[in-house]
Amino acid sequence: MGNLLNTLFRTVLLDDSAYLDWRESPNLFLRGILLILVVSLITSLVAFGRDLATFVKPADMVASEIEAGFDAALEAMQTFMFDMPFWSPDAVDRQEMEKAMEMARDSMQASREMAIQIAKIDAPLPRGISGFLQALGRWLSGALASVSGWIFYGVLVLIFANLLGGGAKLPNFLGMVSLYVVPSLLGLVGAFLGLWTSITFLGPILGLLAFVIGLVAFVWTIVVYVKAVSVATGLDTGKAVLAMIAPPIALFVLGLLIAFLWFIWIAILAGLS
Amino acid sequence: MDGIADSLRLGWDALLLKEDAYERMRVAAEPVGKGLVLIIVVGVIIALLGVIGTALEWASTPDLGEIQEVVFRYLTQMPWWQEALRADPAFAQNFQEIWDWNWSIWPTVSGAPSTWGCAAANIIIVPLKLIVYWVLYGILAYIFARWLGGTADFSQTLGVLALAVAPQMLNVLGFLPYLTLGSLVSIWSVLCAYMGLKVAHKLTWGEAIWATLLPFILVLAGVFVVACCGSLALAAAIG
Repeated sequence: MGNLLNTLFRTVLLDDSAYLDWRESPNLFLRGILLILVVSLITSLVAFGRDLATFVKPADMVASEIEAGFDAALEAMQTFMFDMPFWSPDAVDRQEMEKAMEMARDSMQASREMAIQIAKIDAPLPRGISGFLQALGRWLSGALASVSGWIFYGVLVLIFANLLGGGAKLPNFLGMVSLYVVPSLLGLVGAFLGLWTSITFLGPILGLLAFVIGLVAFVWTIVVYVKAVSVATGLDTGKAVLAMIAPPIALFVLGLLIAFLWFIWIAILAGLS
Repeated sequence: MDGIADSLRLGWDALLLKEDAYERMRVAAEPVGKGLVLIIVVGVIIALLGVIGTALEWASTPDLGEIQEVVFRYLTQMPWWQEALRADPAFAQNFQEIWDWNWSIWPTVSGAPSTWGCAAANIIIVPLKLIVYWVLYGILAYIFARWLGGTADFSQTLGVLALAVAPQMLNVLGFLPYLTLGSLVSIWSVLCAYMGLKVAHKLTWGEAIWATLLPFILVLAGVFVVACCGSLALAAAIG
């Protein structure tokens, strides 16, 4: 385990020998899947905690939050309709406005009551358990979506790497590029800092720090991906960069082409009718 | 029982894109029979665990009938409801009909827990769906693979393509409510089909990609042509 963590740490530092060690590991594809899953689950821990706190909240607390939200919206509506400085008293029919406001207020009050009643309807399982299941489902779904993204993008990059003269077997290539996920562990620090952005004075600074950390993690991720493509396929860095950026460009061009054909077809149909 | 365990082991290796698994299936004595066993076993396991998932999802979802009743009750208390009733006395009855119809389809469309009947019927429907898809895709993939210079026969092609059902095993996670797999199963299945066609037909990577994707492209093109002809006919009729 210590060996594995050491290798992963060295890949983040772009150590050539670490990439070669990883490439020679047995069951590289399975390792890649596990690496993506574990890192994705770790980086979304803060979001999981937040979801858990939201979903297991007692019904009364949810109801009072809904109440507060509707009251704030009503107050904002009142301000917008009557107290805007740019509306002169002559420019608006006060009576009509008040009638409209009354109707809107009644509708919003009924909506508020409705939302509160819905929030109080319980599932057969206790709210704590059903809330935990919801948060767990969302947490695991996010990690599985990361696996989909890794496979889909990896396949497209491998196609372009092959076209550029590189070569690698699909499972080995995917296992190799899975290393890109390691720098995103920094995202956990960013997400944690993001929790404190509502603090006066310190909040904006922490928010900025979280943004900078996220940006560093993103750039680092790209660098590790390029290095992994280069080691896996034998391409030089320039071609590895090209293979990595080619898929979004190709998909964009394909999208444009389909949109163009679509417009031509609409024009033909419009001409006919 | 050994046959089932062996099929599942083969499916696991195929899921991990091990060429050896596809090669073993290609040279197997009865690749179609072996593939069929794998598909049925995977389909039944998914459906059985899906029943647990449905039960847990039902138990953790508020009663939709009660929600429907609350929403309707409060809608009738809103000012616009009284205005509409004044304008048209039949409004309440018409609204009720549309309301009931919407609620009969909306929960299913928005992913509400399926009924016990549906979950149980899946024990038959899921394997059946997988088999139909396997055979249809197998026929098209075989034609394109041979056209591109492939060497495997039809039964070998069906055998290796049965291994493309391996990612469906991920659906066993369906016993956890609120978990969505998104496009993971589809993407992974296409990769397994690619590996199968490449190994069985001894194609290059480029040929294998075309053999894998051409069946999808053909179906998409068919849908596109039908849509174009339909819209053309509609435009001509309106014009």
